Amino acid sequence: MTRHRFRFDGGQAFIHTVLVLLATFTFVPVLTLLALSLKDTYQFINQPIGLTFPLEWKNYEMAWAFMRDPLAHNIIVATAAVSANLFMASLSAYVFARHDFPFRNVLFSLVGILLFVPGTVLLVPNYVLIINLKVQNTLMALILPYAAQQVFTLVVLRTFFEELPSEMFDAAKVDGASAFQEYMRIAIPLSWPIISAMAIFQVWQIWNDYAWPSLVANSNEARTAVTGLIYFNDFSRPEPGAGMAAAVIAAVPMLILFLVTMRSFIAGLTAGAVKG
Amino acid sequence: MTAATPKLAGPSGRWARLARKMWRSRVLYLLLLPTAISLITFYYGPLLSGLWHSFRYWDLKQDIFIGLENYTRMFEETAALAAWRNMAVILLSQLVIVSSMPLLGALLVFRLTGGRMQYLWRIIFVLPIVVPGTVVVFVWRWFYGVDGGFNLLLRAVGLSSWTRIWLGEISTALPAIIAVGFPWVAGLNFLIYLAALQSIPGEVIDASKVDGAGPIRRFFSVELPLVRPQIVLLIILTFIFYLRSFDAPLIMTNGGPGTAGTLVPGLQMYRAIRDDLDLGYGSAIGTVLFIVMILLTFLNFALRARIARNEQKRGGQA
Repeated sequence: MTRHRFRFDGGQAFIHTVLVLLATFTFVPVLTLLALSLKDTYQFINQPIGLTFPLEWKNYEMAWAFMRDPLAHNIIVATAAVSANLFMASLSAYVFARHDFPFRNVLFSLVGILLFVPGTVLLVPNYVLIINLKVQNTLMALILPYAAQQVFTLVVLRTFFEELPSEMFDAAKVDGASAFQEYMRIAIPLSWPIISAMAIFQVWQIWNDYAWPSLVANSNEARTAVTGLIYFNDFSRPEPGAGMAAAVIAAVPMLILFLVTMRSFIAGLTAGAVKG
Repeated sequence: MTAATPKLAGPSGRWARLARKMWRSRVLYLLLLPTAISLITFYYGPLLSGLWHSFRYWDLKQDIFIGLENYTRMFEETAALAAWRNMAVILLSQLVIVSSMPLLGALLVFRLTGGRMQYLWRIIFVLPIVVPGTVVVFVWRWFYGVDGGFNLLLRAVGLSSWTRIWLGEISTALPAIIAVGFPWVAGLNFLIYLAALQSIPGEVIDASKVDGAGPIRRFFSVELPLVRPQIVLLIILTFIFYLRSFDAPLIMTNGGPGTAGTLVPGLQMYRAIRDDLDLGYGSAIGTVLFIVMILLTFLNFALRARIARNEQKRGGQA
C-alpha cells in the first residue's frame, strides 16, 4: 500500500477553488476600501481600482483629525457601560443562582421574559426617556441604556454560577463571608472566561450600533465611531480618500480586539448570535 | 420559639413568616436593586409607555387619545404598506440566502481533509465579523454610486449602457440593499453551520461512505438532515434580526427612492422620531414589530421542540 503523499485529489482541489472564489468576493469590498483610502482625489476618480502610487497617507491624517473624538467617545462609552453592566448583571446572576429567598422565581421570570423584548421596539419610549432625563447628545445617552441591557448576560451567568461546585461557597459561609464577599472572592474569580466573552460581545454590539447613537448622540461631544464615519462623509464633505480612511479607522479597534482575544471573541459572539 | 409553631400559623401567621423571611433576605434584595432599577427604567417603563402611547397622538407637547388611528394608518398609508411589502421581500430573500450560502461555505470547509486546513479557512471566514456593519454598508454604498465600483466595472468591460444609479432607481434599490454582503458566506451563520457539521459523529459519515454514497448524496442523506435544526434556528434568528434592523436603508437611501423604495417598518419608526416627532405613530409601529417578533420566537420554540421530539423518536427506534 504505497500512498503518494502529494497525490492530486480532484475533490479537494475543487473545494479549494470554490473556497478561494468565495473568499475573494468576501474580501474584495474590504480590500477596495483599503486601496481607496490611500488615493488622492485625482487617483480616486480616475484609477479607483487597485493600488496607486504614491500612496496618499495624508488621508489618514485628515480622517484622524475628525475621527479622534468619536473614537475616544466610543471607548469611554464601551468601557463605562460594559463595566457597569457586567457588575450589576453578575451580581444579580450570583444572587439568583446561589441564594434562596421569597419571590426568587417570580423575579427571575420578570428578568428572563425580557429576552423576548428586542431593544429596537422600545426606540420611541427610550428616546423620550433620554429627552426627559436631559442627557440627549451627551455620552450618558449611550452609557445609561447600554449599561441597562443586562438581561442576556444575567441569564447566561446565572446558569454558569449555578453549576459551580457548592463546596467552595459552603467553605466561605463557614468562614463567615457575607453574600457580597462570596460573590467577590469566589463567583467572580471562577468566571473570568465567561465574563470576558460577555464583555467582548457587549463591546462589539456597542461598537456596531448605528441607529440609536445617530438619534440621541448626534453632536460633536457624543458622536461614536460608526456614526462619526457617516457624519464625516455626508456632512463634512472630506476628500473622498479621507472619507474611506475614516471607515478604516472606525474598524481598526474591533480588529485589534479580535486579534487580542480571538477565542473569547468568537465564543461571545456565537453565544450572542444564538440569543437573537 | 415562635418559628416552631406551625399549627398556630393562620393566614396572618403565614404572612408574618413571609415578611420575616423577606426581612432576613434584605441584603439579597439590595444586591438585586441596581439591576431592578435598570430594567424598570429602560425596559418595563418604556414597554408600558410605548403601548400606552400607541393609542395616542404624542409629540412631547401634546398627548391626546386617538384610539386605533395609529394602527389603522399603518394599514392604509401607501408608504406603510410599501414598508411591509419591502420587509416581506427582504425576509424571503434572506430565507434563501441564510439556508444556502453560509451552509455551502461551511460544508466545503467541513469536507476539507486535515484539521489544519479546516481551521485556517474557518478563521478566514470568521474574520469579516470584525468589520462593523456600518463600514460594510458604507463601502457598498460607494460600489453603488454614480462613479462607484459597479459602474466603473461595467464601463471597463464595455457595458456602459448598463450603468445606473443603483440606489436611485425603484427597480434596483431594494435588490441592491439585499445584495449587501454578497456572497454572504462569512460570519456567525457560517460558524454555527460548521460547528453543527463537525459535531456529526465520524461513524455516521464513514458508514455512508461504505454504503457508496457520493459527495452529493452524502450531503442530502446525511449532513442536510442533521443540520436542519440549525437551518431552522438561523432562519428565525435572521428574520428577527431583519425585522428590527434598518441600518442599511437608513445609511444608503434613507428609505427612498421615492416615498418608500426601500422603506421598512423599523426605519419608518425611526423617521417618525427624527423627522416628524410623531411619537404615537412610532410607538404603534414598534408595538406591531414586537408582536411579530414574539410570534416568531414562539414559532422558534415550537419548531425546536418538534425537532427534539422527532429526534427522540428516531433514537427510540434505533
